[in-house]
Amino acid sequence: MTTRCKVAILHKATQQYVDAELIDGVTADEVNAAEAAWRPVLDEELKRMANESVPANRRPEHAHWDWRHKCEVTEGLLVYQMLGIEHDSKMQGLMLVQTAGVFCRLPNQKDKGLVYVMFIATAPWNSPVVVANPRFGQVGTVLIAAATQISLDLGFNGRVGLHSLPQSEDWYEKDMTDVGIDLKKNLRYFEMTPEQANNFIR
Amino acid sequence: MELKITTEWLKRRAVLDDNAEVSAGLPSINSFVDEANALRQTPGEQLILGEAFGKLVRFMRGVKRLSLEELARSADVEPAELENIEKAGDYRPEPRTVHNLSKILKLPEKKMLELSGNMVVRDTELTFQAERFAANAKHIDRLTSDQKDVLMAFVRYIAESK
Amino acid sequence: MSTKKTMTLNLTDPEMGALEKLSAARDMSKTAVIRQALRMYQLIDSRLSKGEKLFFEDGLTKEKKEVVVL
Repeated sequence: MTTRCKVAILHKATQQYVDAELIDGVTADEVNAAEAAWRPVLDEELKRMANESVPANRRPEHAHWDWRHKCEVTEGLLVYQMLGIEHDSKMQGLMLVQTAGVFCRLPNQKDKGLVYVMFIATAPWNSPVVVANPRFGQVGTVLIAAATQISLDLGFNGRVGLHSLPQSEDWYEKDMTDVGIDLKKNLRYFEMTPEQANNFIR
Repeated sequence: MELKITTEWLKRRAVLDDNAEVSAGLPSINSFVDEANALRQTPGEQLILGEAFGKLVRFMRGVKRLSLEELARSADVEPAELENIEKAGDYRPEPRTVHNLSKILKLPEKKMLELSGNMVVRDTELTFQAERFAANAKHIDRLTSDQKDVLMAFVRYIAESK
Repeated sequence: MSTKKTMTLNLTDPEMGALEKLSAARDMSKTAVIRQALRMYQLIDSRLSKGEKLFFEDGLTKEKKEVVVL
């Protein structure tokens, strides 16, 4: 079941906020449309980066993600929620969260439930890693706020966990606790405590 | 519960958010691949392929006469991780690691991704071949010539796969 | 974020005891615990119906033990 609510994102060129919709329960058709729109832009930019010998650590780290496959495996299951932000009939960002069976690793929150952000990405035309002039900003911010809200709604008091891609670590450090590198996944793991969640969405 | 995002809140955050890339997830979708894999492969098959992958890396390292440290350096991989790959049948390396190893060992990346558990394919032929390979590669340091033939046959099978 | 419907839940004393214990241990309301249980049950049910089996794995020995679900 899909619900929509009004949000805003930043139009970078004009520095004005524009209306967008947060979709909770993105459908397979919507994901397919997103992939169809994102993939050609991503592929073109990846080709350009290859031609320009852009170092690997400055290329998009989620370029090979297949959102269709993620949707296929999770659709219909309550434990997963696929969210998106739509503006101008285009998906500007997607996020897949897991809402049960994942627990805090922070010592003072140990074993408390949290919402785990499995995947989050902004559309390639919004990514400062992909394009020189991103079209919209704060798409990721709104999605993380949504994850926090889901956590509150489920009784987790705003607790959120995620494995950051290296290019995003600086951003998560501002509002979440760095739990350290997860050696199993080779990524830095962050958690948002109830206090941090309260500060984040206030 | 409604998500109340106001433009005032966004403006306050704009300085913090300025041109940031907000992304999270597993580049190799490792744990997620576990789920997807589980829908298409049995745990036994996953173990067989994983064990074969580690032994293949070990075998090819020997063929190329590289020490663990030398291969780790060439493939830009931590020696500890390479050791894990070679010894632990249930360790799943990142696609980047598999890509680098494939390049150095001159093996097709696609098949290496399948063996290492990073690509989801139900390939009973691959599982059969991998099981035979792993069984013959139990003592890599003291192979009989028959065992070496079996191992090289698997390498050829991998190299010639589409 | 979707609208919610209310239902009455009749539990035995042991069930309520278990629910209260989980609620305290996880710092969640009893309703939140029930909602979590529903998510996990649906996930397990969907995998079992595909013919998969549910296992627990011993963290040290890696030995797998099947969880039998009727």
